Amino acid sequence: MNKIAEVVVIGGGVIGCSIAYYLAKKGVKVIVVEKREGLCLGASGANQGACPVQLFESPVLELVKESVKLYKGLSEAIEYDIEYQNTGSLLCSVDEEQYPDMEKHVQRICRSGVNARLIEGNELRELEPTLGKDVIVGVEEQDSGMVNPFKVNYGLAHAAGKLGAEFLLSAEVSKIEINKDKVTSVVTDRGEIKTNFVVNAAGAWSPAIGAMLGLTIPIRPRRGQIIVTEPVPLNKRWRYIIDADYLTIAFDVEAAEKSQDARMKLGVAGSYVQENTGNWTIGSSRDFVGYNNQVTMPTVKYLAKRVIEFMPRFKDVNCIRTYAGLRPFCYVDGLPILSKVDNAAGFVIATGHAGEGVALAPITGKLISELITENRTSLPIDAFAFSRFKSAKTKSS
Amino acid sequence: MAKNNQMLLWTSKGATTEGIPTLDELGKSPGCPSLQELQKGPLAVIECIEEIPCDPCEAACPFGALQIGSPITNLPVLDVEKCNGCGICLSSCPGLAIFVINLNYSDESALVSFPFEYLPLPKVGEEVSATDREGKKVCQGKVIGILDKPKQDHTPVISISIPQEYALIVRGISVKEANSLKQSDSRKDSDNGSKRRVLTHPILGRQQPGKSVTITVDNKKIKAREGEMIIAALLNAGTRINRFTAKYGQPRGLFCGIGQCTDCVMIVDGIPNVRTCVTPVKEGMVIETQHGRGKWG
Repeated sequence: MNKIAEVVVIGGGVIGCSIAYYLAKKGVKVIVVEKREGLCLGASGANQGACPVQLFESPVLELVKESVKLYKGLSEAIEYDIEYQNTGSLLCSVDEEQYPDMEKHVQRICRSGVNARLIEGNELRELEPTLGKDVIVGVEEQDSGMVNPFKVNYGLAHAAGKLGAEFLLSAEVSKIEINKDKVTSVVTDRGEIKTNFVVNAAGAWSPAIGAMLGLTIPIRPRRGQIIVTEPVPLNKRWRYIIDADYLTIAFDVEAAEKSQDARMKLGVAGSYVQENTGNWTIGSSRDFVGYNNQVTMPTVKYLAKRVIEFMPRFKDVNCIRTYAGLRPFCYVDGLPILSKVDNAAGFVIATGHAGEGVALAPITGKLISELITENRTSLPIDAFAFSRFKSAKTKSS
Repeated sequence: MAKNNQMLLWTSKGATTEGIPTLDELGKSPGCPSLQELQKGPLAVIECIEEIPCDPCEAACPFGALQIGSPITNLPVLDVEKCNGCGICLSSCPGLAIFVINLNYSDESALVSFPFEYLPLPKVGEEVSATDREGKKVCQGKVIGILDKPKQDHTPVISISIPQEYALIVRGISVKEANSLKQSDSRKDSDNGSKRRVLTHPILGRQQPGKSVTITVDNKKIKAREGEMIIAALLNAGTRINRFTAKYGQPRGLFCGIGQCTDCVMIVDGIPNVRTCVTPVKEGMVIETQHGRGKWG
């Protein structure tokens, strides 16, 4: 059975469905191809649904800020409650040596236009009795939000479907046909689709799609493990609490890998999110173990130990399940890749969002749809160009 | 030789409404042999009609007479050529839905074997009241054999002989009134003037009551026994509601009693979500009924 589409999106995760929605909104005929039997089965369904504004630096910061703005109006736009909430976030530390870093951090993010302030330990505990006595200082910021990642994924797919997008599930792409340096069709095990545009939104699996065109996409799957607890009373002020170690572990891969500390080596730096129901998700870890998304006991233990340092009450809270997701991590610079490709016209890459796929989904969808239909974008995306890897190579060689 | 028109049948509104399958429902099950097939010799009768993910019977049969295959929700298929009615599969079925029928045990009687998970067990040779699928006594029977080896894994198989015409009806025996249980109920328990504590357990035997302690439940002091679970003290004191649900404010109390369902959680010493069925009492414990997610103390 052969089909025709203006754009084929490979990947039914939150990025793929967002791109499909924004394209369909512009009247483009889209087919989303997903190799697994359903949507939201990769990293999109194995995260914490948080959109942390204070963790990023330019150029990603601009994208996150815009993404949060889009999230605010998304439920209404797609007529599907994605459970968006403006919760703000608290980055805090239990290590006195980190105090100067925290001061620097708050100055830096304030300079980049984030509404943040430094709060001393005692005041923190007064505002939020859940925090333990070891927490010495925190940085509060009010722009961050959280969403239900499953509802975002399905809501966007639902809205895209209503606008005419098609979803081809259990369809693995085996080949991308090219004629005179232009994409002409996508071959899947459920038939061939004639198209002029292919978007590679396959997340951690995007290098395999790139390889079909002889491209080396510098993405490695980075495993992130998460614990879910039973529902407990809601925190008074902050329901999104981040370990200050997150700033180093999540973004400086080398420092984490070379560290002598076992917890640092497993990449365990807390990000604690309490859902409306009262359940906490305790994340996350970061390690490179190929396409293995198993949960491991040492990591879960470090995650649990670490959260108790911040919130001692967790020693009486039960874990009800655990899961892990594979984040597409760009091993060259850790930045996303949102780009066309020079010698394969019609091939667009939208991957490398690492742990921020959900946070960046709306803006990624919007920018990629603009890139395809208008060939220009409302925010600059030069920093995310695929060509940056070639230039890096020529510089070093 | 039993003839078709001699067999007694039963009435039911069906498995979904009454929990008792109709003859029609059983007829559609690939694990139930036909009357003609039963005439030829003893066979397993698998009264499994719901497509649930379950397959221990498949591995249990040493003759490969039971097949489920994939998907695991398939109903078991009985190969009547391979089945010799040995009864090994009976104890493997968590739903206790497998029986062995030997229609021609003698000229007049049939032998029905069924799993039996009650105490006390009957004795071989004993006269018993045979019951139907509903548990109603339908005729008298005689215990011919009891299989209770490690292989049965605490699900003994009882075989009884009954008049032939009842072979399609009889699926168990009347459970004897356990004398030991009656005794424990009538034994005097001085705490709170109640008699709800089980002091002589049918399996664990006689329990030594622990030291008397006092705990506070919703600002009321009650007596409890050291070592018993919080829920035991609460039940003894007549408290049946442990919490109210978050969404609809509905009452919840003891349900599973083994720490799995979390229906009995309460706020204990300022910690919400404590499963009272698996938490032992301690002198001076403060326990509160939990509303929704509760609150930290």
